[in-house]
Amino acid sequence: MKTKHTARDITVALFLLTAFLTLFIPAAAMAVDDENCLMCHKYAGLGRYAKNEEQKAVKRIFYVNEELFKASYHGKLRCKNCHTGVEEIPHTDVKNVDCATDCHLNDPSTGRAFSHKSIVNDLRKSAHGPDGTKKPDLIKDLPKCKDCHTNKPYQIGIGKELKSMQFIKVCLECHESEAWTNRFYKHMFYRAQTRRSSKQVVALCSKCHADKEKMDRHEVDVVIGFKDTFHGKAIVYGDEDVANCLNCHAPYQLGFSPHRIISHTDSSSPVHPDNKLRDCRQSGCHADAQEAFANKGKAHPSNVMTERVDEDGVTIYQEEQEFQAWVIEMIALFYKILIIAVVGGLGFHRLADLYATHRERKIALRAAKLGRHTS
Amino acid sequence: MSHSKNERSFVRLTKSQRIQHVILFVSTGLLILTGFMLMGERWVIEMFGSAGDTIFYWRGIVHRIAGVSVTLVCLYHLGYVVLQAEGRSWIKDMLPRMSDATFAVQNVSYMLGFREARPKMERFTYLEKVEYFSVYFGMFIVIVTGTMMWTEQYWPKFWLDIADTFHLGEATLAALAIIIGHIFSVHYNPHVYPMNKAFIDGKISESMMKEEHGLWYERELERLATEKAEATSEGNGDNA
Amino acid sequence: MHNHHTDMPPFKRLLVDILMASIFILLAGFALWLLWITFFRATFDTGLVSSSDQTALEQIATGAGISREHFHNVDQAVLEGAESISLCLKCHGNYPHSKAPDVRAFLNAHAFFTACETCHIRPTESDHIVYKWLNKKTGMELSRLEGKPGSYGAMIVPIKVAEDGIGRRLDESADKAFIEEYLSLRATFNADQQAEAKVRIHKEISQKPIFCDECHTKNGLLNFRSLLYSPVVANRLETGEVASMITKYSKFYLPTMFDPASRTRGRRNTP
Repeated sequence: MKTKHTARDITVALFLLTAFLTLFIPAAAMAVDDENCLMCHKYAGLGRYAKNEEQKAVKRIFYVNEELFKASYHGKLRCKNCHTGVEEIPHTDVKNVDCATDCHLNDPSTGRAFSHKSIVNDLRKSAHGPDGTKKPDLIKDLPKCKDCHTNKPYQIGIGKELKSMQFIKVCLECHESEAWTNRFYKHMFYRAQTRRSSKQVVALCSKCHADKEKMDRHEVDVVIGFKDTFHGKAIVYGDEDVANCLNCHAPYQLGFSPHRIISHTDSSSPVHPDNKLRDCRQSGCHADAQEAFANKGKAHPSNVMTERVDEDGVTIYQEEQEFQAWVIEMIALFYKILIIAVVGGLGFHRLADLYATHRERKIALRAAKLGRHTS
Repeated sequence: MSHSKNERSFVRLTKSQRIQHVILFVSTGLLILTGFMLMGERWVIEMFGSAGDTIFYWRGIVHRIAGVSVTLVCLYHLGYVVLQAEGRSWIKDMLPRMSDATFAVQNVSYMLGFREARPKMERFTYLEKVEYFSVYFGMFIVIVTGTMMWTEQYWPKFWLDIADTFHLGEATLAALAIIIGHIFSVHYNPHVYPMNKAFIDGKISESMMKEEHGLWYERELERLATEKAEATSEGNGDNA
Repeated sequence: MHNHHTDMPPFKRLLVDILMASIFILLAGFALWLLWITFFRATFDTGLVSSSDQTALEQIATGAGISREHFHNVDQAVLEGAESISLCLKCHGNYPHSKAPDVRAFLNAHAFFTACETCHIRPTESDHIVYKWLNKKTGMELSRLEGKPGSYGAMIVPIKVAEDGIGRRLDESADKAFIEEYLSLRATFNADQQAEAKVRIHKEISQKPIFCDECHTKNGLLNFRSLLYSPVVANRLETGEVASMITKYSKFYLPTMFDPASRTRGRRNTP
């Protein structure tokens, strides 16, 4: 009994201590807004309605929540590190943020200024970038950094956070700056987790790839079949073990990246027929998969038939796909007819039987009455 | 109108048949439930919240266990109707005959009021025969396609798409047939409501036997009479 | 025919009936759902609506056209919007200012915590006006400011105190019933009728609104101290950085002293 109490007391004490530390570490990590941008940008209402490039109405919100910003990935940067060229008030001289700008932070791995330049260049060359797209005249449609990435705070589950805060004491044994250690630890801990759930990945890709108009413009298949696949359904249930878009189209494990996605017709694409088997077998998913499993059929059939002619005419691949879709449709039709026949027949039989019972009851009732009369 | 509780009854289902039936309907129920969870409406799935992942995991496990048990009971039944005398008599009476078509026409005309009485039917009515052999057809399809999907790595993806479509189509058909054709007739038919107890005690009452299986009733009476005669002539025991 | 249901005691019979009826509803519902998914539901619903399936109006109605996740994190204060009790925002929206490019965003920032009439209904010389923070939801006067700057859950509202000492809001004379009715009937009005209604609705609005420097100055219209600001903040609002920025805003440059990084840049890049 006594030991139990002691154990509980220690747990409570540890919890309180860590909660206390959690409260104070972010405050210590906060730097002052030495550019004084927040003098105006702290006001929630700073913003206006505007037109975007596509002449659509957008809400431009210039508000920055200081606490959330300080806790975010970029929380250590100054506003003007990214929002370059802002010198005047009002900011008539403001340029769009370029994520390839050199940061004023040193990359500890190289000692040089940190930059997203190489990723921006990768993206440029990918199917999603102006140099890799089939339709260079439709650059406006292409996803920009901000379409997929926001400056989120490091979100670590509360239970995990408490644990990690306990572990930070070990780091602090050598590293003096508590604020730096806390930030570095959060960075590592957060990046080691999967940041987006499969549901979020599917939702993100679907923003464009389920948009028929946009995909038609780019002569790309609309992905509408994925949600009907087993993978798609498992993801809706919250299963994180099945493949989402990125696991097949940009598997990190096989050396690919979401920033370097290229057309499936390119022989180095993970979903090119030559590489598909390796794609299915990765991470022990379909470890015993055979060639036909990977290549004879589509992972997510697109129900929309695109009348597309490749440089060397209509490919066999597409014809196969059309034939396959037709076969599936015929089987479904067969069952639809069968279901109408069976449900109709059985339903009729049941109703007829009820009618017969109703008559039988009436006859029996009449007979009983008659019986009473005669007796 | 009222029937005495100790009315004479006949054997409708033997113990083996009842056990086979229980395994069949429990497994099928689980299969339908866990299978159609894959077709569930999004708002229902979202109600599971963070438990969805676990539910989905068990959905797959239960579906496979029920699939195996239904396969085993089907295989057992195949052996049963070939190897055992009880099974052979069952399948012999179950085989469709020309007379079934006549019964069907006569029974439907009776139900619609064009005929005075139900036709005298055999041990298994035409509808029961259709139901029984539908299970053969359906089980063949779902077991084959289910096995294919379970061993998906060895099949061309297109074949798996075909298997998937057949599996879903057959499951939908079977579920609807079971509900409308079977459950509504053995539970919600006013003759038997709230249930036909035959699947529990294996018995059929004399009145119901007369009504729905007239020819079989006559045959059974005949058989009992000869048995009794034989028994009395041989002088061993009496049939109370 | 034999039916053991009729042999049951009435209570047991009722229980059986309820049970059987519920199962019947479940089974029939399931059967209907099966028919629905087989014949009518096109594909599995992931809840994703492709914006291309929507008309332009539907996009606006569902927010598909306007909203996109903000790069910096938007919090509740933004989502709630101006949340004003003012009727004006029903037409003019959460960000009502759009005409003057230089100041529109500043003005919109004020709209989140300042009642429209504070600037748009100019009091006459003889009016005795007091300014108060009123809770956006309850209308109660605040006794102290809690929350982040501008986000106190309240608005600055001018109150006109009559000779008998009774305070009234400046927009009280607005014919609210007329405005509400106009909003519901607007679609049936032709352009002339709409214009006429609008003139009537806006009759109280001053031609020349109160401008920034009429408040952000010493002895301005608002007494920031009586508006619960601390002396330091009040001073900043009257003569400090805010006020000085306003007076010079057209030729105001951000001093480089706020950007120490730019001064150290050269040093860091030299090995």
